Amino acid sequence: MTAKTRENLDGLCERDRINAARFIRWFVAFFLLFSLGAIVLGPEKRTPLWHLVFGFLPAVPACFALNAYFRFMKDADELIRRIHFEAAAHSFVVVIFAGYFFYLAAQMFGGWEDSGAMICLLGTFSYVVNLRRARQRFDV
Amino acid sequence: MYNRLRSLRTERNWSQATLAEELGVSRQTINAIEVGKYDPSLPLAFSISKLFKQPIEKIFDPDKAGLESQQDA
Repeated sequence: MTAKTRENLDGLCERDRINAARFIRWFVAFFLLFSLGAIVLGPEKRTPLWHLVFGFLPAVPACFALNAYFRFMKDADELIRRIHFEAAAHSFVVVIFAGYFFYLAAQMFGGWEDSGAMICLLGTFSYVVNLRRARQRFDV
Repeated sequence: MYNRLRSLRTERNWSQATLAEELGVSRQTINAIEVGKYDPSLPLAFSISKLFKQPIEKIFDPDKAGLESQQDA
């Protein structure tokens, strides 16, 4: 965990800190398993049965991460919740617009394979940027 | 929205963390309210009012002059 993350967590109340730390742990686990799955599965068209394990394994930490995120949003103190809602709403709009352009790019340059990954990356990046902007706006 | 939260807190020698704990919110929320970047929800404003035993309009005012006159009175 970076120093900045620790600093942000320290400013939260106890309940929010526990929920946020739980979310971060599960998200890291999900990301590691997702990366492993992406490497193992590769671009092969014919998928052996054991590949399904790597395909579905990230779903387990993803469920826990989602659960932790929803709990965090439900219990979070009002300013923190507002900051996260704003970040989620703004990044959602960015992803919708980007989706159209990824569609056009896919039409121009080839298949759809990377569009999903690009939208996920853009969504995550946009969420982080908007979170930072909202935090600066509220001087948090 | 202007408020007297900082002066009320410092009168009691409370830190932001102490006040946050009393109100069940984060220290960041207290800081944002004090610097005027965030207006609290009605339930939180009532909690603040109850904690400092003062009416809401004596703590929060949309007009700075109004708040200062409240303080003088």
